[in-house]
Amino acid sequence: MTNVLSRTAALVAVGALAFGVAACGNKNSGAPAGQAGQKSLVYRSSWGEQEPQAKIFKAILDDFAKQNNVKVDAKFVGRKGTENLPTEMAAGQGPDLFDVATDNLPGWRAQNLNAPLDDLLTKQVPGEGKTVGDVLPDSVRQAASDDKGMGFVPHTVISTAVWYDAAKHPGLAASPPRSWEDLIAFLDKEKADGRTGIGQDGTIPFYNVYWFYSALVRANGAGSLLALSKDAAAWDKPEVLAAAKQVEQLTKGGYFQKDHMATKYPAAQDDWAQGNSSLNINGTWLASEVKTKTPAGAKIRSFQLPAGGKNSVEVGALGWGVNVKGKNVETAKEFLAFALQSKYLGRISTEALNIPSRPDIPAPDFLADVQKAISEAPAVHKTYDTLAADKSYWVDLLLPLDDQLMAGKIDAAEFVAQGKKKTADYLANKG
Amino acid sequence: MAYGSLVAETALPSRDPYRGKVLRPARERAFWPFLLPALALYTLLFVLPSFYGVWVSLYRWAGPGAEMEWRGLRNYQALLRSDAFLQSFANTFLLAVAGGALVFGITFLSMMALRHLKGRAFIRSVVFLPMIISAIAVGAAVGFLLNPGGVVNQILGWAGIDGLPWLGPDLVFRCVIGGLVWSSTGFYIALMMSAVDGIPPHLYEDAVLGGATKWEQFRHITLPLTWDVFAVAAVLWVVNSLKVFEIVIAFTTGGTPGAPPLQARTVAVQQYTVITGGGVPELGSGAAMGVVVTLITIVLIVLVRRITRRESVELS
Repeated sequence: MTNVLSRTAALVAVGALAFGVAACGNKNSGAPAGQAGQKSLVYRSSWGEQEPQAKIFKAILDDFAKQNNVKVDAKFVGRKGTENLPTEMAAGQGPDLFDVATDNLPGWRAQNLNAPLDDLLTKQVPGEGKTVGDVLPDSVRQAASDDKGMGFVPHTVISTAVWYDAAKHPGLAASPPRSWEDLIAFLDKEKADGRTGIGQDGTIPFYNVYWFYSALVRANGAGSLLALSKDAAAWDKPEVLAAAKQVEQLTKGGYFQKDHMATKYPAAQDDWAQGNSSLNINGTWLASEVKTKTPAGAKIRSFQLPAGGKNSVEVGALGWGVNVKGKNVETAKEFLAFALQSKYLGRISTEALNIPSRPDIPAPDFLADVQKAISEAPAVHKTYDTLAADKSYWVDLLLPLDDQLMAGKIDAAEFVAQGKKKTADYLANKG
Repeated sequence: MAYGSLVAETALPSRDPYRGKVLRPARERAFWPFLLPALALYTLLFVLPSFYGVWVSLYRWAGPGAEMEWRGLRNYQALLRSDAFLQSFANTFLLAVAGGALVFGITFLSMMALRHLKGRAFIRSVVFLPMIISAIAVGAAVGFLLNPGGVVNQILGWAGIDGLPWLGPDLVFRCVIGGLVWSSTGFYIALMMSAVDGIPPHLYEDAVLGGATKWEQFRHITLPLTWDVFAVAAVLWVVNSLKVFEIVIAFTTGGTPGAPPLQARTVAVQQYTVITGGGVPELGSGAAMGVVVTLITIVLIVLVRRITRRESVELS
């Protein structure tokens, strides 16, 4: 009797476990039941509930739900909460809408998860008499596209710049450096006055590489960094050595803070915010990240690294993709056109303190220089010239090599020689 | 298979008239019914996924939904030629050996020192504490302590010593090892001390009367009588040290989505960087790393078991 009982109990336990596992797999599937004929939309966001973006998107979704009789199921789970999203989506269990950025679009594409969105460009943005294609400029559309077309609809533009406090450096605000020599002259003056020229969180390789990447790609345009990974001979081009020499000059010139390669994020950017260093190269998120550390009178501004040549400006974007296997693809597309209304994207500027994807909406003051640089750019390139998509090249080869250059362990010539050799090995290995 | 034949045997009419009457012990009858569910679950949740991992390691694959491109053993060959993987592997090995020597060195010293102490339970709890502190907190503290202008360099400065670039490329991995020793030694001390507590005090009293020094007491009483626990602890250390991950992130790129500098990467970190973050995931390469580490873990466990194999000492 006892045996039978314990066996039954075991069976029940195993059954419950199996049911639980199945339930886990299903909890995000499909649309929640609504009224008959009501449309549904499911969004899983990599923004955390407390982030301003989450609050803005929630408000847009609420309006969309009310005005279009849509049952919306939105979960703001943060970066960690969306790590398994590609697997779920590939299994047909994912949401309709998800977050995509220029630098991770290749990953989503590799798994064939993005619904094509080019047809959206002719769709009307409600109440504005303009289409999606009208409100998003070419540069922003490019940042959200690849050879398969538009992969997501941007709400925010991101870029890279050299940042400074105009309250402390009115000279820079009046005439920002126009050439590399101008920049070095400014740094020399700072050094002579006993100030640290550049604050650098050197334990972060993808921040260190901003210097080499910006110097090379701003002067030589889109594709000039990417080319280094495709053919070892590309390293022989004189512009590669020239960009590396500029980085070498910064390192050897002693413009970074002491032991910059041992400075753990966010110490250097916090120090910069407090005025202990003059410049910091970083993304457009910098000012919001250091907001609590910035003194009241500070006036954060930026200039583009003066590299000469093509003067190409980085344009990256953050936005929403539509799950190709989602159950409500059309409703999701409808939402994207709806969300691009200026009254909504204006809040990206005023509340999230970022550059909205629509150039007709002014960015916050501290980002105005970047917005202007983008709108006047003679050429544009995407975040890291899209090279970061190739992990084994980016993370294993270029970033460690660049770290050595930034640490002053190798000079520009050695950087180029090693880059060429390692690229040849990498390409042979890749097969 | 065996279960099937067992059933078949009992179902067939026996030629031996007495055979059916011989009742097998209940324990024997229960063997397969009890084992099978566990075996099935283990196969389903561990064995099959492991083989799946080996299979994936033979392809280039970005994940479900992506095309799988056959690579055969080339993912493995690429690992052997990858400076990044070899460095992360060397780091992991160094961590297991040097970290292990430090952890068990300190543990043995504690076993000698703590045995007589009155508040030893309290001390044990205190040294165990770092184990339960989250990596996020450790990461914040690391910046505060070890940055160029951090507390450690300030204290060195007061003593007239130049500060060091602790988190720079040359020293960061030593700091990671130090951090790991700090956070995990308490666990091994707690484990070994519970074994020490089980040793009857009269053995030590006899030894003291015989004039044995502390070292001799440790060498001839404590160590032999806790050797079994040490053997298990050593295996645990090997397994854990080959999986070290979050403390590296805490000491380097914590708070950002980027990959840590090469000098600080362990194999687990290297594996993480190829499958997550921006860019196209390389699951085949990640799986190949997993297979290599699993094989090495098995070899190391066998070695450790061999080195620590002794006749266990039993007190009569």
